[in-house]
Amino acid sequence: MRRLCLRQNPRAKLMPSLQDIQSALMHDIYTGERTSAKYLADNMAGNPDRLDIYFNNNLLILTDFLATVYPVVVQLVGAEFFKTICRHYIPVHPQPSGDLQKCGADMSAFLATFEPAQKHPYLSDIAKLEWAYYQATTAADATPVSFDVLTHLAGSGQDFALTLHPSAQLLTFEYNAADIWHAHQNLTVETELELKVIAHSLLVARNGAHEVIFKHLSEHEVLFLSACKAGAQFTEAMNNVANAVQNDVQMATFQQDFAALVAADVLTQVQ
Amino acid sequence: MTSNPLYSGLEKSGLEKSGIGLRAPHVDELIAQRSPVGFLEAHSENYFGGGKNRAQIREIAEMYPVTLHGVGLSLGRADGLDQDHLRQIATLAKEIDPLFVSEHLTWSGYSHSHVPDLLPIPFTNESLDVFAQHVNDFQDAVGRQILVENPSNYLAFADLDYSETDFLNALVEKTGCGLLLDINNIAVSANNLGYNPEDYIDNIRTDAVKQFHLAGYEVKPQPDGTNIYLDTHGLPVYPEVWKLYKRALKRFGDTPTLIEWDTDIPALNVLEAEAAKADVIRREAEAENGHAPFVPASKPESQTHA
Ligand SMILES: [Fe+2]
Repeated sequence: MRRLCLRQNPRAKLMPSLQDIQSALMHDIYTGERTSAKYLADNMAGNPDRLDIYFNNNLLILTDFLATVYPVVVQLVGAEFFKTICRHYIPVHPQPSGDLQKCGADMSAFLATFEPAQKHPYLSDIAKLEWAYYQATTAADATPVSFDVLTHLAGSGQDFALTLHPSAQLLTFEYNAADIWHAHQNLTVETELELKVIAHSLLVARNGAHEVIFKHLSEHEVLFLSACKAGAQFTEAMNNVANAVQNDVQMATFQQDFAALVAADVLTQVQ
Repeated sequence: MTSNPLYSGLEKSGLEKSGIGLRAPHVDELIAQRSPVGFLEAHSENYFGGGKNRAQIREIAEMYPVTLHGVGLSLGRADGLDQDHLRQIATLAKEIDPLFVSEHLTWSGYSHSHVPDLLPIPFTNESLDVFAQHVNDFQDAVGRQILVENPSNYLAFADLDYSETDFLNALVEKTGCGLLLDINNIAVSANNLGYNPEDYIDNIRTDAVKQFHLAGYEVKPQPDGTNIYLDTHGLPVYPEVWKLYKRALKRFGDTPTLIEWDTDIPALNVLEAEAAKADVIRREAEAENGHAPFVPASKPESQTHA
């Protein structure tokens, strides 16, 4: 029989390309399938059962990593259910680059629609905050703009542009996510916390002392920071706010808030 | 034969003492007080970002000789290197001026999917061309020779053109890269794939090995009755690996050595003791093999970390 089948014998076909092998092996590691078995050695060292070593290792390491990024989600749902979440999340959101720290970006969106998690409707918000927290700790360095530089720029007569520090993220939440997050930082205290549906904007950023800060934003701060983020010149961003405020008191409040943003190292100059 | 001639011109002292892998639980302690270890090895990707991590690796590099060891570049990938990843390593290397920059004889990313693991490559002519091209790209990006490390493998492919050692030797020939020989990985792969670890050491060319790794593996019985060695880096170095290490010291001469420990990370002094154990074996090997003791070139007084 073997003689007659020689043409179809997988060992006798064209050598597979490196792309074929890598595409199949990567597929198997994320699905648990065995499509790469045909490329393996014909002896014990090519036993397709050994694909499980890579499959299990991938799931284990990524789950452990996601647990370090999402510790409050783990506390809220328990370690076992978090593993279930990861088992479903990882195959559809594989590690996107060779930098492990970039893995997990889609957890908030995933939890918003993951059916078994719908009894915790605030989970998506918590995941969004934890991802932002992690990004704030690991984001690239950049020199924040100081009051001195700002004064100099404003006095120069030329317009300029500010943007958000790489660690600074402008986010909106439906629930009081920051309250829930804070309540879960101190595990020794039993905290009774009221869950509130309260849509709001929050800035998450790393300050000069490498601490992550959460700052509730007024609508005028959001207006200003959104304009900066979109590439507006400083004058235009300020004019947006000037057109939106109702009175001098609101403008004075915004100016105080703006000073606080500068003091928190949240803004950098666009060079 | 003298000690490893590849080191005669190295302008950093202290490499006669073995080093340890830099791991998060020890960073504060290593900064607070200079450990007696010879050098520290940082995983490049852990320091891609800014903030506290980046500030700490700069501080560490002021205090210790440091090597940069990559785990995510995926040199063996068929679809081209990630240029952003390459740039990040190059920037980091420029910032901390490491003794060596190293990566693995593996791949870990294809298309848009990556794994936090080191996957085996088939030792074919096509793989050699791809790998050599990527080593050249890497060396161009960092402006220096890189070291390529033999991995722990659990699987072998069909239709190969080379053994792993022939592949590594040919890679050195084609690119001028150096080799980082992981003695533990030799023991692990030899067990898992069924070859002789001593032959592996004897088949590696003697003009390229610039660093050794030592670590502990775990033995996991399989349903089919065989034992798989898992490269967990969670235990002390096995006697079998120390024995192979002595063979490697005899073949390659005294060579900078690093202890890796990644799971169940113990107190710093446990790692320091393991490094000291390697030092004792190195000095014994020099005496036995009639080698001159390892004498690093003295550090020029004007040298600073740029
Ligand atoms: Fe290693």
